[in-house]
Amino acid sequence: MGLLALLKKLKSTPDKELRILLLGLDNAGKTTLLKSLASEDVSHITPTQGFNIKSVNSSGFKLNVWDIGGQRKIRPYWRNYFERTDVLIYVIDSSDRKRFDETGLELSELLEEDKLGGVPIMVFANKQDLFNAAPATEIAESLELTNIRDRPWHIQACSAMTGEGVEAVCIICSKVFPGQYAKLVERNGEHQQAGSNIHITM
Amino acid sequence: MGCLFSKSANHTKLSEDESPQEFSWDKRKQLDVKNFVLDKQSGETIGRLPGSINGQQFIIQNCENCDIYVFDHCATVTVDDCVNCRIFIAAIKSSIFVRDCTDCVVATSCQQFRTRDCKKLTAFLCCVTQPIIESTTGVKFGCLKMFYPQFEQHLQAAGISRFNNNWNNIHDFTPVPGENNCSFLQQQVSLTDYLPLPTVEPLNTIEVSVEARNSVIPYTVGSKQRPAGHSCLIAIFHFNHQIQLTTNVMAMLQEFILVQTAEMTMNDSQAKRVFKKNDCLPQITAGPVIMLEYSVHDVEAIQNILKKADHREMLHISDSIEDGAREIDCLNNLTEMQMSV
Amino acid sequence: MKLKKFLLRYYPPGIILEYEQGGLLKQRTLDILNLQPTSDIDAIVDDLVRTEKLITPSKVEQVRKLVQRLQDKLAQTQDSTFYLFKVLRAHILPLTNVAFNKSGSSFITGSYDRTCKIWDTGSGEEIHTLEGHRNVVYAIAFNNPYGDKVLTGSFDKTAKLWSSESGKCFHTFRGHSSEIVCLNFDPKSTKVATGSMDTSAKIWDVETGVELCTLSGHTAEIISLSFNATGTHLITGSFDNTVMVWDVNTGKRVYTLVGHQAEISSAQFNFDCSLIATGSMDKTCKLWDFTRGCCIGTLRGHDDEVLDIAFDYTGQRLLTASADGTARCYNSTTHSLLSKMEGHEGEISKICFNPSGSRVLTASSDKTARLWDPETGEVKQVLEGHTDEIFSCAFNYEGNCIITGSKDNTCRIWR
Repeated sequence: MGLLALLKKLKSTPDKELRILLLGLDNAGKTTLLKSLASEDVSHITPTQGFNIKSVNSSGFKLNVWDIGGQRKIRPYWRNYFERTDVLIYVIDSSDRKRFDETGLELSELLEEDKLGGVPIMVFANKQDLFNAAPATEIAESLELTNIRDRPWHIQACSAMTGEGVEAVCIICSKVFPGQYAKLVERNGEHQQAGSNIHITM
Repeated sequence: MGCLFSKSANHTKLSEDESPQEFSWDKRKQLDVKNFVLDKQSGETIGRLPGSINGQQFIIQNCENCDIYVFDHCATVTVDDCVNCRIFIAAIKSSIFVRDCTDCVVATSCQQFRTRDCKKLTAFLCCVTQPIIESTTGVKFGCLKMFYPQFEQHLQAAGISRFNNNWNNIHDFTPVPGENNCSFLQQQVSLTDYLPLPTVEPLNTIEVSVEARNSVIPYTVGSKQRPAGHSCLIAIFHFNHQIQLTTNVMAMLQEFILVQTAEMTMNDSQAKRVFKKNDCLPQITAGPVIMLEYSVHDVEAIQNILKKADHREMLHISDSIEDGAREIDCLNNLTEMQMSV
Repeated sequence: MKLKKFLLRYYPPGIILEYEQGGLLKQRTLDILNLQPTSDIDAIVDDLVRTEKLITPSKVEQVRKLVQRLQDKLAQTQDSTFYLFKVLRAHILPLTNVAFNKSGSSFITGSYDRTCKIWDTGSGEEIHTLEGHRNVVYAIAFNNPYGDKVLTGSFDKTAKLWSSESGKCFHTFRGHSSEIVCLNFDPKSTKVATGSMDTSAKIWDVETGVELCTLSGHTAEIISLSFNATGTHLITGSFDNTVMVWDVNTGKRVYTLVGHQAEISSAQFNFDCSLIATGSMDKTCKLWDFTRGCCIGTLRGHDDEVLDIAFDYTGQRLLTASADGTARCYNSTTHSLLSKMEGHEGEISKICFNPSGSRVLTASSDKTARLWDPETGEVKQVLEGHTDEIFSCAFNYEGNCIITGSKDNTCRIWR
């Protein structure tokens, strides 16, 4: 990829590429989600020491997904990556109830950041495949997501390990950028899955 | 992955949950939580027999002075706020996260090993990726030595390769200048010096051995504690008796010190760089190769012993100590490179 | 005029004459750019004597010895194997760029952890950590050949000037409205230039820290900039597909090099600054005449973006590195292809010659750096060990030490 490619990804090209930032506590499943999005093997994943970037093509859109290490020690550096974020994906380990407060705190701090002002947020309630996972609705409540007024938000139940719910990332892009997305879909003569119709509303 | 549009995406507001998509977890049956959560236990000996966890999540919290044995494979494990506990968990498909624990022993095989805010931990591991510690002091790491009849099967269920063990290669997120938060246990240390074998029924019916020679996980001294001397690389190529041959080779070489092992798939150019011979390429790249690094004075000793091995043509042994050094160097670089995303 | 002293310049080969004229001490450099390990010394000496009046008959023997030394030096660095000397783990996030000072005694590393660190090459020990930036430290430079100052450019939109001896920050240059991604000192170390994602470049005074001028004109991000050898002009390469040449004193644009069909990745002067080479994501490299401002050649052949280019120290050869995983070496005068370097399993993001021109170093996303023979294109050595992409690499002036900076948070020293 190289440094030059990183600079290219810093540019804003809203009609072609979306910059997606993947944040969350360590062990939340961010890298697994990233690999799953990129249709790669999720069985050998190392704890992230810096960051990982992957570009995923989805119906003509290019999603540049930045997965940032979430250990407590390196959370102060999340700020390095805020600029020009189009969509924030916040990943939560739904089965790690001990740390719901901690993750709630980090999330609320992110929502106060100037540089992330107005950026749509998608909360992934991950690890739903585990028995101790709190359902997405419970998590939405405890995080008080319904109080978010300054930006579009969405909560998605998923299991990055099995891949279920992961495709929602594409759906969120279609909703967040309906204008551009519709144009692209039209232009690419995009597929309609098994007779479903897409009605995109704002 | 492609983009699947859910069938009823009509007029969905951004702030509401998505349409009724059926997920696998919606259909799962209810579990008896007690089997999978150990909470506020004190002075107990607790065990789980093979088949009792069967790939579910396992949670240990607020326990004190307990001996815990899980002879099964789990999805993921968290160990929180425990003091003076000794814990064995056979195989973990994803991560084990140990937090706010003091004076504990953890023995396990896992995909990821993580700690935070712990003091005085002893960990016997077979960890497929680089173990990480954060805000943790006084950790001692050792190689897991374990056998019980179903262990191999549990490792497989958890997707863990016994040959990819990074117990010796730790990443510390909060290093302290001039100090070491972790140290490594010597070879003579037995798991039972820290974690006694269970004596209560029915746990005592499981045939457990913690001897290196019986261990399903090959005992390795680790590259950080490589003895002075030379290295010899033995590679066992992929074929239908690969594991058997590997076990035989290790048994024949019991007198030698095994520094580290690896199991990895190589492409042509990687194979050429390590092995430098073109005629074996199809065999080398046919499937995952198992690699063993032994510490030797000269390679002839090993070559002589292995002359008697079956399927000798599926083995590569370093030709000389110079070759051995170069091959191991190359290999180390490759295994590290393969670990990152 | 009275000749006082001879000085040697190894790369590119040359002899510097220090002489007294009218009571003042002056310097003149004799370039011997064509010197090879196989060159005829006598012929070269005769040539020098003929053209340079300061070399009197009594000095000829001394000059011959000096040229011999230069030739020996060139021959010396031919085929050394590099070994990993140290892995430096002091940064806690990925590294960005790395650079040596002129003597090679120390080097600097920039990182996502917002610091720049100064290291001692011999021991591999950290000398200073330059802290203060509030975001990624992306671009870094020593004020070579002096080496007493370090300039850092950051995503926090500022650049900072530091003392390499004390680690103290002299100035913070504020004014850009977006990330700073390239910078340089002028050759006399009196000015610095910064290039930014805000599409402008700025020139600042080293002594006072004051902004001297803003170079506006590009319509997209500036990602490469270079002063010429006399410090009179500056070139900026931009994502707007053009390179602009600026007069440093007036801040006015002299001309624009138009022709590339896609973003510029790198723009470099050759040794005597008669040529500018530009690499672009349009898969080509172009050569431009500096005086006339026109394109004199296009080097085609890569299957993918050209990500980096480099001249050798004499300016006679030019390298191109591409996202297609290969690198090429060209004769910069005839534009003929000299060799192709194939073997990397991923994009090559950085390329450079060693100072003597006998080796090419490439850094790749395949996590290796490789050394090549530029004559044959043969790979001489694979430097492996990094566990993630290598973002930057550099040779020291002697050519016997290499540093690589990687996304795996480490820097490696190879000797």
